[in-house]
Amino acid sequence: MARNGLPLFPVTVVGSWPRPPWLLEALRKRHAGQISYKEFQEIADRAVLEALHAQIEAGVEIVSDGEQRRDNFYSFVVEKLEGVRMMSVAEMYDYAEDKSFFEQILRQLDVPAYAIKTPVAVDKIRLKMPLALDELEFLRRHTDRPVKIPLPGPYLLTRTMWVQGLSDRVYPTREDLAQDVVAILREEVLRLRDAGADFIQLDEPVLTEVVFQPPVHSRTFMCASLSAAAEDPQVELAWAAQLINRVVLGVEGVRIGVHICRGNWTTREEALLTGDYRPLLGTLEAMRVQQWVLEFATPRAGDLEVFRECRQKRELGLGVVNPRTAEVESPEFIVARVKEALNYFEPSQIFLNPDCGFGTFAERPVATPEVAFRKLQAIRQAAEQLRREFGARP
Amino acid sequence: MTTVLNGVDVETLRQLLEEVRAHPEAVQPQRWARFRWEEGLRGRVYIRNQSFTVDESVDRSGREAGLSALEYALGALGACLGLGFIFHATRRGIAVRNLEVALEGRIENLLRFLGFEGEGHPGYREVIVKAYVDADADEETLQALWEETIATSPVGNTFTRPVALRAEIATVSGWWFRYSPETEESPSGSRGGMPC
Amino acid sequence: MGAILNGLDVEQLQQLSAQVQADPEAARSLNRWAARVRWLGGFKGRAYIRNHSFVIDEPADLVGKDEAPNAVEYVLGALGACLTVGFVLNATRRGIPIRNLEIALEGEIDNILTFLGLSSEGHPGYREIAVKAYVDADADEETLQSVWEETVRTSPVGNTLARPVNLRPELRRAASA
Repeated sequence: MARNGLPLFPVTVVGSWPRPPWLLEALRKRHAGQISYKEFQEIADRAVLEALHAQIEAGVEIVSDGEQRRDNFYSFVVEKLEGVRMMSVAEMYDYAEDKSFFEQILRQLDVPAYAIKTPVAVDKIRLKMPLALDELEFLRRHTDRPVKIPLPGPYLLTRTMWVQGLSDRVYPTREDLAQDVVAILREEVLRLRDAGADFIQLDEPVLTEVVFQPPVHSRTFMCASLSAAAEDPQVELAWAAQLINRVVLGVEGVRIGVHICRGNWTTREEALLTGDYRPLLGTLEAMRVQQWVLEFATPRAGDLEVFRECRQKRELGLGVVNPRTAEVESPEFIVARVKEALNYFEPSQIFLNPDCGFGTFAERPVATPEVAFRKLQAIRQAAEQLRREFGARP
Repeated sequence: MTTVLNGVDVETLRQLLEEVRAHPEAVQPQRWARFRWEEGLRGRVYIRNQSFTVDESVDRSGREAGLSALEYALGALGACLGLGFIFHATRRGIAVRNLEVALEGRIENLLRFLGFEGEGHPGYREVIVKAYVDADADEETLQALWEETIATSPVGNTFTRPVALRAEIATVSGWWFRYSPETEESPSGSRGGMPC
Repeated sequence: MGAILNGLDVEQLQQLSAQVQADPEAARSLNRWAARVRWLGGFKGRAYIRNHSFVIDEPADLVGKDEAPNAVEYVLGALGACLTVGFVLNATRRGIPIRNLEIALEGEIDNILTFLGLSSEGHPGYREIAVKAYVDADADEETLQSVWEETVRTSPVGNTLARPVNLRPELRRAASA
């Protein structure tokens, strides 16, 4: 398929693909320092090719590398940045202002504090190597299809990495860290564009935590759970939109989207957040991105009707399958969801994708490769059906 | 005007008891703690926003970084009885000037802990508790108060009655925890924060 | 100095064991432990043990000032600490290196209302304590399971809780100096 001639209702992914066991073993060895960065990348090359071929075979039209080189969608930056250290919750316990809250969450997850790690800015952050250029270049060598590169968003990275007592020696406030995060992400976006990326997706899942939970719980477990600065959700949302804009404003020649979901770390739907996009609508509108990549396959994400009041519409990356369920959605279900979206968006504005990745966290994939494959196939079948009705090209 | 007796705000205490009387179901029956091993026979206990170090110096002459678990248990018993006494005295309007509780715990056979075969178990067989009190009440009243304290002491009852221990172990490596989406069980009423 | 495993000098550990076994008097002295708790006003107290001391307080919603754990929480902490230390001791004796160990405890009081004088049913002590150990160590599941079972069986605080302890309380009036 030609890179610039996207059909109507392009089929794409949010990013991650379940890792094969041998890749997980290599990742474990990499973390234990038993194999080098280069050795790991050689093993990951094979996994990326498998993920890529699965997507192509299923009919995906804008492909990703399945995030096979990453341990998850954001903490992989530890290997790419100086000044960032992976720390366990056990190491950070004494810095936590509300330890009881930690205890509640550890108990809910049934995990020890030593097993949960998160990147923390402990020094001035500097780029050691580009964040995702290696991912793009490898994909470019192996496919002609348009490519999507997911990047952790500036709000997510800042919230996660700034910890009172650990980061404030170098960065007195979160805003000080945000400046460096924004600069690094903006350079990365330009670098990826110049190297031929078609679609860059900024992941900001933590925004749903800001709006859907009461104050004490609004703090994500690891994402800045430690920076207990009592936040006003409206101030946080406005700041998040501002950070996104500082990364993307004036960048031309590449499609930039933002992805917001309600968590993808468990298959227990009731443990994930619930609420429609209404409280986020203003923030979405304020972000100067071309596409919103959103969940709409689960009832927890609410109704598409929220877009009735929306004045500044963008493209919609419509989530049409739930990556966490074993049951594969039918093409009819997907078509029906798209038709609902057509009440508020033009056919040319709608892209089709799953609600989230299939393996956001390497060690906790939410789907098997077989189920993921069939779900993507169903999306492609639905796209074909829609193209017969609405035409193949915009 | 609030009255403070024994350092306790009597009105607040009265209100608390009224609330509990009205809504006994609201009283949380669970207590939580987490202990993290640091090194050797030393680690740290985390409870609510507090934490403390526990160190087992078996010969009582080694490094004294902290107290042993048995000693904390003894201290907890003393505190529970001492503070329980204050609670009951305050409720009856008795002013306490001073209170001190001395404890001596007798282990049945500590060698069992060190891995030796033998008679008995390595827990406390007996604990001698001696309370010294200086308060505005007659001997008889204080004695009755003390008996009530013993009978209604949470830690006292925990000691004198057998507690069911449900012990479980899981191997979880340092950077990584295996979750199988298929076997993941749903704990009732849990609501997750996203561990992103 | 001998080999260090899990932060413990293995040889010293063996010597201590031998010494205790050879000297019954030393063993007897190990069986006696003492503590003293002084009331500090309100629901706050301080326990003095050897050269150490710690504070006990009630949470703010129970009229305390939430400056320290309360007595029942210290019991849970003591049990967790005892099981951990026991696990390390037993694993070290078997030559197993431990990378990480953490224990989560949850105790269920039978009926706390009896402490408050608002009920006469049941008792205000722990009825049940759930203990979950998380371990990261170089040994197979089965070995770790057996170390854990041995630890629970030979835990001093565990046995203190699991069995009835004889309390001998006494109250004395002593005027302040």
